[in-house]
Amino acid sequence: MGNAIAYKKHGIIYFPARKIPKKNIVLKRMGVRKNTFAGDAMSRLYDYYFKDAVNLQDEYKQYYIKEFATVIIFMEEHLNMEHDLAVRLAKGNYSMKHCTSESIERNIETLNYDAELKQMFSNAIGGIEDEDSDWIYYE
Amino acid sequence: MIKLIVQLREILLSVVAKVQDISWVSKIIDSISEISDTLQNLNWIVCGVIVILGFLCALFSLRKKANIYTIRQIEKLNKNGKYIPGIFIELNHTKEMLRYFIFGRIWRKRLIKQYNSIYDNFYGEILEESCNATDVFFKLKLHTALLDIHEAIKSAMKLHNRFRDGTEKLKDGFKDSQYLFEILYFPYSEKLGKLNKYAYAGYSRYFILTGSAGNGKTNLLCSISELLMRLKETVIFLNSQDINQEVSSFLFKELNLTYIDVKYRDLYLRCVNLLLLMRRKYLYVIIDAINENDKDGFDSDIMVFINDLLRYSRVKVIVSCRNEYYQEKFRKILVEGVESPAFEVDLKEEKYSAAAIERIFKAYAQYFNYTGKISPIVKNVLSKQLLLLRIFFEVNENKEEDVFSICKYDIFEKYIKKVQDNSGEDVEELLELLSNYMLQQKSYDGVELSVLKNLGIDSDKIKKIMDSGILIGEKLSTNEETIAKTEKQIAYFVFDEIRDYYLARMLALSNIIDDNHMDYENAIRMLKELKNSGASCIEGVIQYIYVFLRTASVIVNTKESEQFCKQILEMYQIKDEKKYRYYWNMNREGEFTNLGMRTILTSGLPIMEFEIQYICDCLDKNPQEDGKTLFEIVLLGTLHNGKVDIDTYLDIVFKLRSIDNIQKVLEEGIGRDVEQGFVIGDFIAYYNQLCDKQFNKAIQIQKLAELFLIFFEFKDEEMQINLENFFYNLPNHDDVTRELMIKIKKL
Repeated sequence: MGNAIAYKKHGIIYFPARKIPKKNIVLKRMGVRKNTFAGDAMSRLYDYYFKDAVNLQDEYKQYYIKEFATVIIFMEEHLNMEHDLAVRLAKGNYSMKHCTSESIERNIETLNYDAELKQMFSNAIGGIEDEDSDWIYYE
Repeated sequence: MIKLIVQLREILLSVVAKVQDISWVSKIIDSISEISDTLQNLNWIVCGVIVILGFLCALFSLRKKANIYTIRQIEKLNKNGKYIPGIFIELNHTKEMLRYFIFGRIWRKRLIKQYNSIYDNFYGEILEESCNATDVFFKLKLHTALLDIHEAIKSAMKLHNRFRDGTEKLKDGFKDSQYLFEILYFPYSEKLGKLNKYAYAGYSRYFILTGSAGNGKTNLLCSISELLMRLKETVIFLNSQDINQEVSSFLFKELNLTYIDVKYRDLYLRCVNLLLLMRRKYLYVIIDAINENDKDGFDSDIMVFINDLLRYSRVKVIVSCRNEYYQEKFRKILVEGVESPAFEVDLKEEKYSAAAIERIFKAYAQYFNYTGKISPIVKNVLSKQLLLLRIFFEVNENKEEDVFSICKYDIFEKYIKKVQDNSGEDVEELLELLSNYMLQQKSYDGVELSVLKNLGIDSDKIKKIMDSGILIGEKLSTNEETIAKTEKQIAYFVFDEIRDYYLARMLALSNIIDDNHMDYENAIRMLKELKNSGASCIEGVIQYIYVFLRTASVIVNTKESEQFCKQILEMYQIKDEKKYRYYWNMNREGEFTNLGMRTILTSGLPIMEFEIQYICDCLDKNPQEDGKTLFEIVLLGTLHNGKVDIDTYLDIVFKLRSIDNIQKVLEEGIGRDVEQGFVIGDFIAYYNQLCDKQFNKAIQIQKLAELFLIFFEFKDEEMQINLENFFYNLPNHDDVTRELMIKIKKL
């Protein structure tokens, strides 16, 4: 994780929920209006990444505190995370969401095939570091 | 006489009237009657307190006694290696299902939230507006009961099934969305399927866990027992092997309950149930490995016991059973014989994440006191088969040698020796009899115990070998073809690959004519027969017989041996007329589709010239089939000192028939960048990683990167510039390019 706010790896996005700007601010930054075609598309992209994400600390405290001694152990043993990643996520108030085949609205991610749009959205959020590369990129 | 009585009564009344007139007397009488009343009331209170104390004692003593017993059982399992704390890795949702089984009502709102999130989006809005079905809820209220949640999930699943089958039609005006929901069947059904299991587990009181040998049932149950004890629940962990009498009598005896408790068992359990209800707690009875009890009448005993327990509303039961016995013997008893509905879960093996692999190796190494290093190539092989992983660590117990390559047959040999030492019996004799009988009968599932007895091996000996490891197991086979349904006890190889290894060994040895000569024709004929009959063991047998031919001291390095190996490979050679197939998503990650390629590249032996020719032939005819897997193997070889590395890969590539074919193979292996796979930009990172330690390996990376740059141009200009800047400025760039160009021109 570098300077970007959100970090995506193996189809899972991690982000500190409090630092993610609200949807209307993101739409404003991208120069689109609500209830327009572009506004709806961006709104769906925003929801695809951030809506109903699981807050790791809350999840741990609410459901797993009696089973795992610390939130780091919870992330390592229950979520199968690497130790370093778990330590980093435990320091901040991070949330996570699966953005893979498990996601119902996965079709919206095809918008990301447009590199400029992807970059614009990332900038509007405050930076998304996406370690999941695209498919074929040679000729 | 009557007159006398009347006079006496009058006298007495006058005396009483006089006494009542005196105030202090009346006060004393009042006090006495008050004390009497209080005493009468106290009597009830005391009785009540005693009863409550009795109830509390009954509960607390049971919890204390049960948990002490459970701790003892877990320690015992820990000692004999059946439970290794920290070994169970959550790869699928089985443990989460058990959590829902425990926390059902507490986690109800979590379920509702998860269900609502499925439809709380753009597609959910369309579906709600356009759907004709009236029995589907797109949003559940927070106070919805578990049963209703389960019903809602089932209705939603049916709706998406109808979309899949094309029988559900949306309202007019939404025709365009019809296809959307047909396509989206998979993510919806995946999410709802998971929730369906959680909801069912949430209100279920009877959980049956099944799984094959060694895939972690006992581990999971022990760790769940520990969690329950931490939650201050009452847990009784029963190991079926220990039960040597009627189950409930055994339980009461083991828990050291008083004579009165045992005599008034039902009343006692009712009291316990009441107190558990008041405290909102449960009594968990966990029965592990019910297939391991051979006592007569145990099946019916366990059925009665579970039925009895489930009559009490605060009792939950978890049972585990091996897959091999479950369908044949126990399912009928445990599911049909028990009145409460059972929640059945199969603990399947799944693919491990990198972090999970690291953790499981760490835990096993610690437990088996193994202090050596294991290379990523070996880890990659072992992590695909839990049984092999376990066997590997058992074989390397208390050792410190590093392991950089793996030969499965070597591990199997050592393991057989270990079981022989543990049991003190002649294991090889049993294995030989088993495999020879299997080959004769052409039936590879197992051999009846009665047959082995007739062949001179008594059941005690088999039992000893079975108890000394996971080499040989026992299972039941039902023959329903005859009018009278019959059951047979069968001895079988627990790990299929050990069976294949031993069958191959027997097949090869039976064809050795004298000290250094083998009847190859007959051996090939036997292999072809096996292949044509569709025997389940054929793939494994061919792999191990191939390895045997390349390593057995009697025949190795003879021309005949090479000839025989070639004949084996020919059996799997790709035919020229084979149609070009699409392999997208067909390959299992890291596994070769072509058996010949698999045999060569997983043998752990140095690669030979005729093998390179075979691989070239396969790649020429169909680069899509195994091109990617080959690249993964050679890359690992270069990075971690494997026997097959990028040099071998380049050898193969430059022996292909044409430049077009080279391009296709490179495209298949390196070009297609799949999620979580190799990224071309990694060339630089790998070069830097190897440059200081193993320069010759770094050059291999350089050669491959430069070859790729000769053939392809990236769409991503930045990456193209980065790679060119890096590799074209290396001091030996000119030499490498010259070498590559000479080889290309030779084609």
